[in-house]
Amino acid sequence: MDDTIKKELYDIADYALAALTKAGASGAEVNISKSQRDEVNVDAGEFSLVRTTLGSSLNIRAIVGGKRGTAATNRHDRESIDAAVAAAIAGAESSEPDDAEIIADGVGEHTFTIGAAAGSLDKMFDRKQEFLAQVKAELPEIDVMQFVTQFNSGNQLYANTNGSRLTCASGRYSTSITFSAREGDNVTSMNGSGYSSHEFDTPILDHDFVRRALGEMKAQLHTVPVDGKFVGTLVAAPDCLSDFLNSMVGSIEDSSLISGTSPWKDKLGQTVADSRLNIELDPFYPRITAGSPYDGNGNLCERSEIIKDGVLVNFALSQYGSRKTGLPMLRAENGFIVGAGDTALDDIIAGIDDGLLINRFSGGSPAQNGDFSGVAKNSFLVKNGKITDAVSETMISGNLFEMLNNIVAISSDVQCDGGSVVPYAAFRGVTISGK
Amino acid sequence: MQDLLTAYKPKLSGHTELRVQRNMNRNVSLVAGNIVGNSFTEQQGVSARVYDGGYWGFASGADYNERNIDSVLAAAVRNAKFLTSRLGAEKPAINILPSGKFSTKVTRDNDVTQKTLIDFAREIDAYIVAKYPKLASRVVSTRSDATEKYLVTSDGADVYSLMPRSATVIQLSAETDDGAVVEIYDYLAGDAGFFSEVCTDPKLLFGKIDALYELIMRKREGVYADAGVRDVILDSKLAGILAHEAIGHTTEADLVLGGSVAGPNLGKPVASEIVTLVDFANTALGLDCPQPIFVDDEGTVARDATIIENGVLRGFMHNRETAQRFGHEPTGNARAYLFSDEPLVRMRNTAILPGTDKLADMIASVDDGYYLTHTGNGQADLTSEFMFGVNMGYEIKNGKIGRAIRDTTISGVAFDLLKTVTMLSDEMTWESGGMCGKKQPIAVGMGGPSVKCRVNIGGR
Repeated sequence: MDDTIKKELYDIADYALAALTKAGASGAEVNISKSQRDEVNVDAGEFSLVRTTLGSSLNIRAIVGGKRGTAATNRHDRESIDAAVAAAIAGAESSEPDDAEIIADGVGEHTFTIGAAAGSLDKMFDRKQEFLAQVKAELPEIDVMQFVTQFNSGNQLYANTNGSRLTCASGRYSTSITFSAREGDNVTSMNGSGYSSHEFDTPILDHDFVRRALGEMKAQLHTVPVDGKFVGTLVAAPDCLSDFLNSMVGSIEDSSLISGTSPWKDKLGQTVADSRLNIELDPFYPRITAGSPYDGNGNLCERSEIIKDGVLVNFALSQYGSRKTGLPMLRAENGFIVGAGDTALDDIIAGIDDGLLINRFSGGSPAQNGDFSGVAKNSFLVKNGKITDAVSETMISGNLFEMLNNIVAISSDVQCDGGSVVPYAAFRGVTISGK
Repeated sequence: MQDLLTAYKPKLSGHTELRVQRNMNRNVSLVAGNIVGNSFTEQQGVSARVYDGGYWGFASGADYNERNIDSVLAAAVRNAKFLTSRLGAEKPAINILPSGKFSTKVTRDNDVTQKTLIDFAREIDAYIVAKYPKLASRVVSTRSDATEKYLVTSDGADVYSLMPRSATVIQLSAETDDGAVVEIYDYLAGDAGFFSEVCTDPKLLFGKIDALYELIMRKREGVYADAGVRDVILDSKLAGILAHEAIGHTTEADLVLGGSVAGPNLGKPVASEIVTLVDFANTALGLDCPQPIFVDDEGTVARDATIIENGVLRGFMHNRETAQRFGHEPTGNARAYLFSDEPLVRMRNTAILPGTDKLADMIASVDDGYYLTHTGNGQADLTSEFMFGVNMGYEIKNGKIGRAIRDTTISGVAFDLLKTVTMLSDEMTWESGGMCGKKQPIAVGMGGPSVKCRVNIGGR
């Protein structure tokens, strides 16, 4: 991190923490950032907008008499800091004492640097133009819709009244593409793909999962409805599997465990899933580009397993949730990794007589007990070991927690989009219904 | 908000928008009586957007002073010129339009402190825990947000608006006999206005808590819906999300350019003749809409966008650029969430107009189907295939309400589903608490009557 910026952030932290202490806080922490986003947009297949945003933030958490107050502002001038300090103190004074509210122990001074220091507008433009030309030539049925590429750079400081000073300078590209296929007036469901990366030198279409998602669209121009309903095997593609597993993780976070409504509240150390299922957060995994080295409470992050060989080895609790429930804290915030299996996707498909390959799930949030239902988008029937027709107006329903015990196979193929590493997984016993 | 922008009005050239904006957000959340959320957030700054040779340049910064205004204007010009330098300036200029002028009458005088939201939530929570100790858990949230913005444009637009909205939301959880947890959540209050205007007295909401408790007790005994295409009555509380997800998104002009099925259906019948759907700008059926837009964030005077009239697809929602491209009148649908966001084509107050039927008659007309009353999240598609979650509903057997059902999802292809609409109730319910997501979040209103139609329902 540039010394001038570092001093600027330290000065803001010192000023805010001193003001909070003077105003009566027994402890306090601040998260401060200065950032820049450069963005190149394509809409409906054409370049449309270049956007530059300069950002700053100050987030305060103060403890007054055992009571917590938070406030946030996006300005760093003294008047704005004073106002945020006053708002945090007022918020705390209006709250209730809670022993679970603490400021983390001091961990000293740590400096992290992640990714590139600066991005290139020219590079973003060139890669996007190259992608549009390649798609036009190789996949002429594709309509590229909203297609956003950004370079986000930032300098962050976490500081607290226990002496922690954690800085992180980061820079990464991210790109997201929404697309459909069209033939005359016939149009497919839209689909999306994207990733984040430290460099932007690789052609976008060279990412296998991007090419696969685009390549599968042409076959979706001609869909068949599912006749009636049947119980079959569901092959969840990585994006879809992420949605399901993130819902599962949501059920073992603060809110569900503090309220006592999590179905897994008493399952720590017990088998909750097929023994081939492994889930962890590892912000330092080399293929993760968007990992956080420390959390919002100033705790240094580390690789953290949640499910190991089907056993629930940790919940996904924050510092507050952990203290509130007396259960262990998860020492990572991101870097979602699902362990790969040992079966190639093609072999998984070859073993299925009657099922559905689902690329995107569009459904209501699963109920607390894991029941879910929703529409299978960009999806294909699997018959006698082969991917056959694309489907339309097809719904799936099942129970998330039961599904995790009904795993047929996990693929050795994984999708790594910079934020997560996720394979395909097949589950038996899912209800698939059509019109 | 101090006016520094007026001095810049004579200096703006081509098509330039200059906007200063402040978003404020208060949130309090009690989970099982614990204050897990207690935050006040303020985001503010200035942005400029410039159209040059067919391309937009945008820039923003947090500081609101002349130096930063000069800086974002220069950066926006530079960004537009980046694209013209790489692609050539070949597209037509944006049409100059009659300038929109508007100044809100809303003031910040009625804003409240964080303590008000905490005390309100506590009183609601205390009532629930005292009266209904057998609930597995409860969540009480009080919140208030406000967007204040000042916009000037090269066309002469001069707009000041302040739009607050507030809500109290609760979620009740109960355990079934087989140990599963079922939940229901609903707005006890939610509307445009500061917190003290919308949530005046917790005691006035106790009756709604009692009603919601009755629902969760019925849901405890609920059964799974029978998956498949069924006759349903969507309560008027669901008509809004039907209007928004099923039709609204499909007829946003940027999605039409992206290939939505609405494009080739313009002027054609897409719904039953009793269906009329409008994205209202600010006033509907003689009353203020939940998200009143008088001039949009491009400076366009907002007017109602009639999407479906008596079953025929009549139009789309436009910003200036899409209107020009289609040769349609601009509708004033360009909206930005934060100061650092560019305006996108967004809905405002999207509603199906009421019909003449009575809800009781509609339910009585169904032999075997469902009456669906509470919804969750929803999603749209280019094909007009939509879905939304259903958190509360009942079987209808031989025209009578039967057992409650557990959470499910309904879906359909809107342009097919709307042709199955045979009855619309004579009531009109607006929902305005949620956010719509499309690159940026934005507050929207949505409404309509109870609807009888056929949809695909998820279940077992």
